[in-house]
Amino acid sequence: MDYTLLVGDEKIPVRVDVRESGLSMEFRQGEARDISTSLINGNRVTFTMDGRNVTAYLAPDQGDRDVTIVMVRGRRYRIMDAGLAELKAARKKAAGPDLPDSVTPPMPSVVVRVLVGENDRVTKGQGVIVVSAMKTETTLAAPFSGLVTGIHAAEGDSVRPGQVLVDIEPGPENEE
Amino acid sequence: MFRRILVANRGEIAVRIMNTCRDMDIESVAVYSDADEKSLHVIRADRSVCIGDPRPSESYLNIDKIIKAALETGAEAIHPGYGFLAENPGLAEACEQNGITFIGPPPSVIRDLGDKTVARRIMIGNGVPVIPGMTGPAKDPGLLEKEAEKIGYPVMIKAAAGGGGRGMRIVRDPAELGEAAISASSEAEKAFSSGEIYLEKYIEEPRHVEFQVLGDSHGAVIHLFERECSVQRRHQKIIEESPSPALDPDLRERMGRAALNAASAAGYVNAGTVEFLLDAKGNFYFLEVNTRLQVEHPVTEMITGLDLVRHQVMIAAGEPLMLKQADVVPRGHALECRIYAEDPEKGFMPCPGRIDFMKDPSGPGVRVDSGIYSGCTVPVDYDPILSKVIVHSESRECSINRMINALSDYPVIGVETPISFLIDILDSEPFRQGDTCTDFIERVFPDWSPCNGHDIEACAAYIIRELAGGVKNDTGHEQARGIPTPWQTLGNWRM
Repeated sequence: MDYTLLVGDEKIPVRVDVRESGLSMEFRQGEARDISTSLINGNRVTFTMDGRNVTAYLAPDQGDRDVTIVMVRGRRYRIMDAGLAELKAARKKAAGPDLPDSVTPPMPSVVVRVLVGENDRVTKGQGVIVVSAMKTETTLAAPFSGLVTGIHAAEGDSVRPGQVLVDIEPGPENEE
Repeated sequence: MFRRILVANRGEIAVRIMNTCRDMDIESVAVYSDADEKSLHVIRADRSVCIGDPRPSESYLNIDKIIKAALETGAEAIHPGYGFLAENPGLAEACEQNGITFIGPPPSVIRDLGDKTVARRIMIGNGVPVIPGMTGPAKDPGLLEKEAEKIGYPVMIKAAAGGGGRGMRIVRDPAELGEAAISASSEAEKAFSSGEIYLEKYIEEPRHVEFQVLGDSHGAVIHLFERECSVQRRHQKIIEESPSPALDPDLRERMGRAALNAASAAGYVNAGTVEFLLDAKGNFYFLEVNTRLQVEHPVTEMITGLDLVRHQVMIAAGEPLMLKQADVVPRGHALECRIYAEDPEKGFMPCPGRIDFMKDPSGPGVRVDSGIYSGCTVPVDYDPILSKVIVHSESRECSINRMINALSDYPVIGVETPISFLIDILDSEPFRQGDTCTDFIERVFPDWSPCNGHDIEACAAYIIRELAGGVKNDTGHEQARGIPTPWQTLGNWRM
């Protein structure tokens, strides 16, 4: 069986052969590895690779159930079938262009300080609003240069990801 | 002795305190906000009281609700843990007014030492070496400028009302002082309800070395040796250890005596920590006294074999100290790593959410103080500390290896943790050499990214799981399939 796995951003081809004594796996067209025993107990998978025991822990990614989070020796990997990943990307593209990046908090937060006013010119990367969550302050930046056309949050407001806090109309940089 | 203690906190520290209460046959009362309804500390308590709205100001910081919960449940004492109201004299006072014992120092001591500038003045008056700096807070930019010139750059802006990295800024260039002061003051206001700031000389490449002290209500004070907490990220400690690789017996003795002087000068009662900065030449300077049980207290417990919470409770009950200084004998080496729900690949952004799966590490000399379990939800409203992993062994080298192994066997899936980052720090040459000071991470790991050393094994695990029916189905049983699954031909193990 031939697999192509997407591990993070990297595609890793794997060839799997069933043998009498177990499996043989070839990664990145390299040397074949013998997998000879395996034990699956809930989220834990233990197996022998070339005679050495390996234990890994797996669980589906909450954000995308087609992705599996695999942990080995404290290191984390996001793995999914590369073909499936491509199929999903194509579907998403066909559904329409992505919305432009907007000024929205990465997690539920509280607005600490609004740094700009309506009709201000801002440059890409300029801080426009400061939010706080879990005792950490984060400054959200303008995703592109332009003109502030609306401010939809005030100090003390609770805000959520997806909520656009500051409207910026894209415009030329440093128009003076 | 108290029959019932209310723990005015949450997460791993509340669980840990309740463990000692159980050991002492004392009933524990948990308080919880709506966000913490299914938290581990609620599950572990003997009784629990809901205090409503998750916002800290309405729950864990709400003195009235906490006192009410104690009175309702007949709790005779309150343990504040760390953070939240632990260093708020208001809670200690409210306890006094309501006939409840506060497990900590008296409100006057909390107040004095809680104001960093008052604390400095006390130390200066008692011969404890301090960092050159301002003795009173100020906000006037002109005054701050003058003081900074007097002290000499680089200077550190600090919050008068609290620590933990909040309201702190390093200023090397006079031109940056104004903006840094405003920013620091604002952050301090949010964290401690006081925007008061002051300036100190910034000591380059310092080590952060602190001494644990215990004082009873009869005037006796002892220290329980030091902890080094130099590995910090944005002034927040992430790795702590004892003994400090930088202390020889002579320096330890002198710093220990200074810590006792500091504690006595302040009239200290119960558990506290005297923090010092140690420079490369062996000069040490008083930083502050933390009037609470600290996050990293387990490190001291491991090397002394003592239960600090137990001593806190005894002292609060009026018992004299059960130990003399000579009775405290440290042994071996201990290390602690704090595990936060933060993503080291995304600037350590907090990542609350549901923990799908986790498994504590275990083994000789491995202790895990945890506030989480598989399936629990880490709320967004609070500091994202999940747990602490502490190891103890005969030597620093053994402890480092033991910690790396423990962290390598500590899967947490569902929220991100800095475990991968911690492993790299512990395994680094500078850390193994004991070459730690407070800018360690900036110096050694300015642009960390995780290694991919186990990607092949991860792929193999993924494929094996897929062939067995896929992890989505996760029943732990074999799935019935028409085509023979390869694992039927695999060796002797099967589940």
